[in-house]
Amino acid sequence: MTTLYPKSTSYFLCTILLATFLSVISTDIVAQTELSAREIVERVDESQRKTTNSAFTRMKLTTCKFGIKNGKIKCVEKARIKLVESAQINTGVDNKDTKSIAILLEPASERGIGMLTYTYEDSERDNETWLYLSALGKVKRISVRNSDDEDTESASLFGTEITTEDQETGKLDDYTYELLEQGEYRGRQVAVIESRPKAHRINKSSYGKTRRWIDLERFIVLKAQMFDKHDNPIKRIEVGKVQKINNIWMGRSLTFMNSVSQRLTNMKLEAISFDMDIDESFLTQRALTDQAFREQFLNNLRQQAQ
Amino acid sequence: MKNILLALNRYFATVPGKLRPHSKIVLILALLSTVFMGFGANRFSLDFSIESWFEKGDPALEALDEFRQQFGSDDGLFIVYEAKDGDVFSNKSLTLISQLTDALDNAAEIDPKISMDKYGLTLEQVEILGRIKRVQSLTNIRIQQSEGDTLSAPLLVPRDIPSNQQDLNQIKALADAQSMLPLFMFSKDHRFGALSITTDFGTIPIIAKENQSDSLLAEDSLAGDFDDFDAALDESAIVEKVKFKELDPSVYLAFMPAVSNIYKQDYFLEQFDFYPIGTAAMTELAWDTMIHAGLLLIGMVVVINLLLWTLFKSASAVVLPQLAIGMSVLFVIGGFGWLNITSSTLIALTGMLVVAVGIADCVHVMSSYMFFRREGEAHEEALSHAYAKTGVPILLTTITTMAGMASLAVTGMAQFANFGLSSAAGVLMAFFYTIYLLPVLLDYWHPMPIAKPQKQQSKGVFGQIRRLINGATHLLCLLIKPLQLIARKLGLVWLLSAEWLQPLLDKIPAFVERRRHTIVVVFVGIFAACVYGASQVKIDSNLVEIFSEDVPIRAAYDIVDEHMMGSGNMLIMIKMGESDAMMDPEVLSAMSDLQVTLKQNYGDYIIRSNSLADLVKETHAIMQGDERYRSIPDDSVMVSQLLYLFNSANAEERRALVSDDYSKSHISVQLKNAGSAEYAVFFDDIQRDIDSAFAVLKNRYPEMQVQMTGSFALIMKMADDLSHSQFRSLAIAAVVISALLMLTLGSLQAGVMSIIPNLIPATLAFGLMGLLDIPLDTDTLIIAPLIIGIAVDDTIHFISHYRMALVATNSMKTALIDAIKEVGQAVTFTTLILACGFFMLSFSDHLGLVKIGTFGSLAIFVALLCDLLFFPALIMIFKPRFGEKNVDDNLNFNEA
Repeated sequence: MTTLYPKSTSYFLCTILLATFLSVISTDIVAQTELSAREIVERVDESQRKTTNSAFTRMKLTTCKFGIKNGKIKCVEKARIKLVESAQINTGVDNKDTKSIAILLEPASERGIGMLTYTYEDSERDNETWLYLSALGKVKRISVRNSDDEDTESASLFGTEITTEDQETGKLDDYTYELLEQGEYRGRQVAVIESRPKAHRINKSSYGKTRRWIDLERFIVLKAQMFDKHDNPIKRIEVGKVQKINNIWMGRSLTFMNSVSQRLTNMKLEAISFDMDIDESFLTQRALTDQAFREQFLNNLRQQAQ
Repeated sequence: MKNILLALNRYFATVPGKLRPHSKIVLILALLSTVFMGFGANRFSLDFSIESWFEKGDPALEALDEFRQQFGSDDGLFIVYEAKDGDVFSNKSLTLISQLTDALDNAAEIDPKISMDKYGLTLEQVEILGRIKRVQSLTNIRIQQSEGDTLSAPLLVPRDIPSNQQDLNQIKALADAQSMLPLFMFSKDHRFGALSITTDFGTIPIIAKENQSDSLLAEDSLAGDFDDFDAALDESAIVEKVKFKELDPSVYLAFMPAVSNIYKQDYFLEQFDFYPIGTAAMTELAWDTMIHAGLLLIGMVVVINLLLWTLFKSASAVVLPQLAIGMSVLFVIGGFGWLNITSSTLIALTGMLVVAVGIADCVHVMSSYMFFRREGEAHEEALSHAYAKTGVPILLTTITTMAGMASLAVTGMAQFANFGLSSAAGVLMAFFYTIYLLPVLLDYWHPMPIAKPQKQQSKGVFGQIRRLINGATHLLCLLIKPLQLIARKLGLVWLLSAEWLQPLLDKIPAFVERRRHTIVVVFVGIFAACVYGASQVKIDSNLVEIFSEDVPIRAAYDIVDEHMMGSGNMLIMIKMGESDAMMDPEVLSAMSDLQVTLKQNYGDYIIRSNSLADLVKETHAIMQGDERYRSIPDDSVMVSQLLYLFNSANAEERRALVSDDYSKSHISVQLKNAGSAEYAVFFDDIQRDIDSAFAVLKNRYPEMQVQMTGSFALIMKMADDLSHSQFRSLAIAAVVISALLMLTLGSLQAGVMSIIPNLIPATLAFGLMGLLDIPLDTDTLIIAPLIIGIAVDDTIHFISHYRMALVATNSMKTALIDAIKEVGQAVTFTTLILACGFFMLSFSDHLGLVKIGTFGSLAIFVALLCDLLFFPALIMIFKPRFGEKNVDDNLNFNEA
């Protein structure tokens, strides 16, 4: 018996996490081979959480069904391409609150859709999100209580193969870690670490376990393999084009391959800049509805990013 | 032909004598082959899945496979509950349902010991509860709200469940106002509620693991250049087709008790009555029914034993036929095991057939043997005579039954072919046992022991054992004596010992001769009525009505049909053949219009339907903040943006409704339960409505395909397929059996004359069902050839015996008396044994088995009447010579 009833607003939330997606970046360059599995993961997570203030990104999300030819991965149908620009600043006491905006530039049918999000460190205060659908010309405030987080299921990022769970940071206590192997991989010193959700977490996770190939010098994940609860390898993430930007190591081309749906999404960071001069007045509802106002600010950021 | 038959006769007469010197070798060979087949039986496996009933590549199965590949599994568990206080929204109801939801959702997450102690679960049950993916109930479902410019999705029932009535009434009003919740989560009168449980059954992919033995640091085959992803299209690349683990329904058997152990806690049962429905509940019920049927089969065996004992008054007559059954079944199962053939539950029917045929074969031999012993013949002579009389008829019945069962192979359905061939093999095994092993065993142990001179008490260990056995037998006899006394007083002994039989058989020829015309008219009348009835029979399989009314699942389905969203589900799969077609307002409008048409035209069956079009309409109204916008927008850009929200939902949930490239989607239709016959008409009509609703889009989307699918449709298709193929195989069986009879009886006239008495028991069940307006379900249809096979066996024995006697004596009168006296006893015995045995099945909860039991035993009994009354009457009127010359056709039995 199937039901169509949309069970929660979890999908409204997913784009908020867009700006924090730089989950594989790291500023640490010290090779530490004596660390335990948990310590290595903590180092990676710590680096991820140093989400930089005043960031501007333009990312291209390419999604297609894939096949294999001569050992290489190929799109077997016309790829769907989404182009998204986003900006984020930290505000509030100790810069612990954030304000971010994400605007879709492509495809044409979704051009102008925008999400504006304010998150607050104070757990008593609910985060705020505004959604703008350009075809309707209406802004809607989406109310999600912080306390609802615990039963929010993993959502997809813009309908791609990337899920909110793939980008999750923190919650290290929800998993157990095991160092499986250590040695040279793709010319780097790497530790392969397997994480498994603990009993209280397993129902909310799509994965039974995850293996990460972590570069021990740059503390960046080079590859990840996700398994379902029956030990089937159901998803794989490959990180390419590793570069150091503003003294931060990051992969600029991430490929998420779903082995069940046989679909992949490649996320390419076309532009990324940190420590930008972003005016807080831009991160308001006006940026969603007033196209001229928005373009003016975005042009300014694009120029800075170059 | 006559010469062949006579040669065969002579051959069978010599078999016991030829085997006697080699009896030890025969026994050793039998023992060795039994051990060998016993090992084979260890490798035997059963497949319970629906898919196993279809040939690989069957379009219906492929459509469902494609559907599952695209949209996921379409079955789950739905637990309907009735609140004893009459209100599922009362504080007590909501509090308990919240507890139950948490218990089911989290049973596997907490320490297993806690769940085991709290709900009395086993560790295995706790583990299987971990396969629950989601539990939806009134207490954890969210609703979408749009107030002013704010969208929210609060829980329908707050976590702190209010206790004052005003707040509870508000929740009730809010729930009633939702478009999707009423009927799905609660009934309109609020008496019933539901928990929807989604599992991962049937959705587990099979994906080859890479690097299984190698180091994790070694590169695998997929490693490539991920620095610069090239999105250029290359249609020649090979896409791996992911298969899903075939679901073994036995999983449900572990799952259902685990779930019910939780909801069957006293504190839940005080407030609610629970009614689980869905595949898991149905499978559990089917299993219970099988166990019940198993018990009835044991009952059947007990009845058969009792009758064998009372009729033959000999332990060997009880043990040897059962050895035949046991060995034949073991050889079939062992053969399947060694050949690595997976069998279905139909193997139980093979067992039933072997029981019937094995017993019939042995009873014919032993009855004939005893007949000759009573005539004063010695053991060896009587045995040889018995085989001379019964060998050919046993061979004939073996061939006809095998031909009938093997004709199932032409149905084209793999499991039927297996069933037909395994049954044919089982019947052949019973034949080999009867002809080649039974005479050897009868030499050692037979129903009428030869009185031996009192031997001196043997000494040593063997003497001790013998004395011990004798002592035990005496003790047993002492215990049985009082029972025998009671039975004698009640007249049961007279009835069961068949002391009345021979005197009765003696009177039959004269009786038939006096009333031959009346008998023929009566039987022909019955036959005509049966043929008419069979032409009126309605083939209809109802998934629920095969259970008797006191089985709880019938109440559950009635409640769901009457108060909730219906127990049946149909899926209309829409494939537009073009990316993004599902965002085209015209496509969505066609879907929406079709839903309206279906509801209007088939309101009696359809309770509600759901589709992507509903989702777009709902989102449109919410985003516009106005119910007047509950419509499909005209602009495709607007549709695309409304779907933007849905796109970002949990991918699995979106994929359950629309494909990744938006070229495929489906309409899910909730139906009331009805029979396959009603649905066959309904499905035809619906397909016409579907075609006309989408006709306008054909030019724009030339590759468009819209069709019905789903487990429900598959089961209905299976029922339909089965009816057709079964009729075809029955027809083939009838032709094959008739041809064989004509051939062996040596004349067309005699052939036709012997087919008619065979056709009466064969058509009786169908005829009566048609006349009494009882629908013929697929279960009964499956077993029809089996019943027919058993019923016609006795007739063949009778007719072939008559023919042999005619050849031997050249006198119709002597041949008929001979047949009635000799075979009459054996066919009466087998009829009593099998008819009483089969009648046990009519006590089942499963109406399919009840029909088999009732109509099967009736058919077997009518076959006896045909043999003893109708066939002699036909002979007396038409005087067929069966190809013989110089036959004395004086048939006056009433002469002094």
